[in-house]
Amino acid sequence: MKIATAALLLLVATAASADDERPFVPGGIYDKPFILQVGEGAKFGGYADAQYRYERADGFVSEQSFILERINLFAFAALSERVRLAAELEFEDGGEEVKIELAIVDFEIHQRLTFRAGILLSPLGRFNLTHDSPAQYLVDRPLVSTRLIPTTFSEPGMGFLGAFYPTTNSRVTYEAYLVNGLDDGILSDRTFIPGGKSNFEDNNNHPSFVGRLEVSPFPSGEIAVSAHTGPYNEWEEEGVKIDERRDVTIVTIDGEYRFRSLAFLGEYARDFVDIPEGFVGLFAEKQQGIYLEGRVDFLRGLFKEMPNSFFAGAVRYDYVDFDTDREGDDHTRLTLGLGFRPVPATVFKLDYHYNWLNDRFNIAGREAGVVFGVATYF
Amino acid sequence: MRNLVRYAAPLAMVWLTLVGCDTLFTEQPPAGEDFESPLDGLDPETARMFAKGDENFEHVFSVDEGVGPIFNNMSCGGCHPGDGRGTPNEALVRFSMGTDLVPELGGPQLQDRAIPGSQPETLPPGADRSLRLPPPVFGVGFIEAIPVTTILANADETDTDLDSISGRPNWVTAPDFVPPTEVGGGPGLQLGRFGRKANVSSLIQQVSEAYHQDMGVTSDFLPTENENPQAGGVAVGDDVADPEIPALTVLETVVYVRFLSPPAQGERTDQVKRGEQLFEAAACASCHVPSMKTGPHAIAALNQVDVPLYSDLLLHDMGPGLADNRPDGSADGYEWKTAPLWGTRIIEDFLNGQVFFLHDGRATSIREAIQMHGGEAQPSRDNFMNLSPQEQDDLIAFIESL
Repeated sequence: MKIATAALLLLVATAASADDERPFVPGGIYDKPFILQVGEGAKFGGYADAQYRYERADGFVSEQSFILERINLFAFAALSERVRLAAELEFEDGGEEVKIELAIVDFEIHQRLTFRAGILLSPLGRFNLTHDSPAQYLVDRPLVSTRLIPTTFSEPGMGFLGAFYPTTNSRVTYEAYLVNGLDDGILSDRTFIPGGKSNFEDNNNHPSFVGRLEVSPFPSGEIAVSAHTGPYNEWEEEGVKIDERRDVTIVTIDGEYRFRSLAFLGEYARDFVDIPEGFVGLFAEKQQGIYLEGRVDFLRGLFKEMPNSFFAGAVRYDYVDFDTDREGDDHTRLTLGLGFRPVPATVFKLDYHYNWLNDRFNIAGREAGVVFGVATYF
Repeated sequence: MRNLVRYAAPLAMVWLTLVGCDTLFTEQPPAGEDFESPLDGLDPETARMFAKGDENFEHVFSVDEGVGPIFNNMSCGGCHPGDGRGTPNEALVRFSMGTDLVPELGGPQLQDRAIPGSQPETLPPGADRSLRLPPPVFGVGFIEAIPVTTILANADETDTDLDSISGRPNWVTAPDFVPPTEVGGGPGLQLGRFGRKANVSSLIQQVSEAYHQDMGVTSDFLPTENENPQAGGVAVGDDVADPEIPALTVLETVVYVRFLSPPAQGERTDQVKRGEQLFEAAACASCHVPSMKTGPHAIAALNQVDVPLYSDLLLHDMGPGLADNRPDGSADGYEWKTAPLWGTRIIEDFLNGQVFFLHDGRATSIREAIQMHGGEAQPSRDNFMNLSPQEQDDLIAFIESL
């Protein structure tokens, strides 16, 4: 306890805080355009994402539909200089699914040490922290961020975050929380991490850990590692052991570099899942995936009536290996996208994507589609 | 704003071009190059059941849906990739103590997987073990539609024609849940058509038992959970109420496999034609009967058509090398049903470039499979071995064209 106290005091007391204009996570929860402010207090905003999809699989139309993908409402309130509250409510599938995506209270003890509690956005990979549709250059989220990392991944929990400034331009940030973790929904019909999220109570009375460490050597670039680990199944019932404890661990590396109107970003994730003995060989014990994306902004202010408008192009390579112990069972996608932003907070996106899929027996399939999306903050 | 119009028009044209382009939006595989296509001419109701059956076939059962408590796999498609044959990795194990199928020890099928909280079966010490490669599931509607008399016409149990080939039917008893209106259903002995030893007479039985035995999923036809006698015979861990699927699900899956079309023979090159003649000359066709005709059938595609399955659907003594030394219905440990050869042409497309033949997949090429033939097939095997290398290649090319 003395050591912990000493470490805390050292953390808070040493080195002056930098005068940094950068948001904790660019595009993250404190870097959104809030449109409405009520008096001196709460700010409100949100975003909407509507799409038209035309997709074909192996020569037949697999989907042609208009979709209101989601509407999110968010609120922010600075209750004092050191106490902040942020919340986000998500409506998906035409309102059939409503969930609290975020509801946190931050107490800033020091720039290096903020206490956070509530329903957190898990800092597991940068995309999960910056996933808002209007902020993205392509309509669909990266495969690795939806099939392995269950974006949007939010969990009840509490912990700390903070920022350090080794030099004037560099910054190191961290987030570390204890959370409820995933449940055995990750093993429904295959190993599928997103199937085990949304646990607003801990299913096994043992918290999981999620943390992220980001290094920004200069203001235009960041690289980070994140991890989420903990037990996912129930192995005790009223004190009686009924099963073996099984853990799931997800590790990610992500990075972004911006140069003038260009940006390069990507994320790699690998997961390790303890599988019940009877399911070994049927369910994956290890999975991995990556995405790499390049973005460019061009033709700024082309239209006199829209001086802040610009076009944006993007190309993304996605790859997910759903079972690293098998040949096959993977998905590769190439996406080309062209967007137009009449104002920075609103984007019209037109994507073409082509997919190479292999099932668990390495039987090949092909999918392709065009997706037109409109996303805007409001 | 004029600029916006100027740029929007070309964009719209690019989009329309994309939508109209098959190459950019994936093309259908060539007809007949898969095992998953339906027969032509299905009526709308049958087509709907076929589509539902297709979904059922690929559906992976979770613990919450009733898989287990002991099982071998969690979906039909988990054993029959692309609706074709499986690999030794998906093979089932049948076991017995000599001729005793030992149900009190969990026989005849080893369910070597279990859901959490349950105990899988293990092979009892001293048990005879027989590996069974999952067979392809296409074309079974044709097999079902061949009249019993047509199949029996090729039987020669006592080898009266002295050609050393003595195919005989496997007469089996259909379970009570198979309606008499179904082919292979009803009281008394029925002709076995399905399974490596022709030990199953009806598709409803085949599919119901696959759900029950292979996946541990109970249905209206087999509503009692498959228990593990080695663990005291209690089905623990599976809390899903029985039956776990309704009869309709089974029937949809039956419709699906019944109306899966077999792939047609490939290009008949000169080599293939030479190989076909050698296939006849080597007496391979005595058991691998090139074609049988279906009887009258309500579905036009199955109605009185020639079925090029290259099997007589009868049991033959295949010698000690292939014997599993355990009975199945009236089939003894040396007997196996002649394996149909149709679809050989594209097997490797659905098995990651590999092929596996014979009941347990021990042969990894047609040549190996022929060389492993014994018993009644020994003379044909010897005929093959006496061919010149070029002639052997021709014969194999013919089989690989099917």
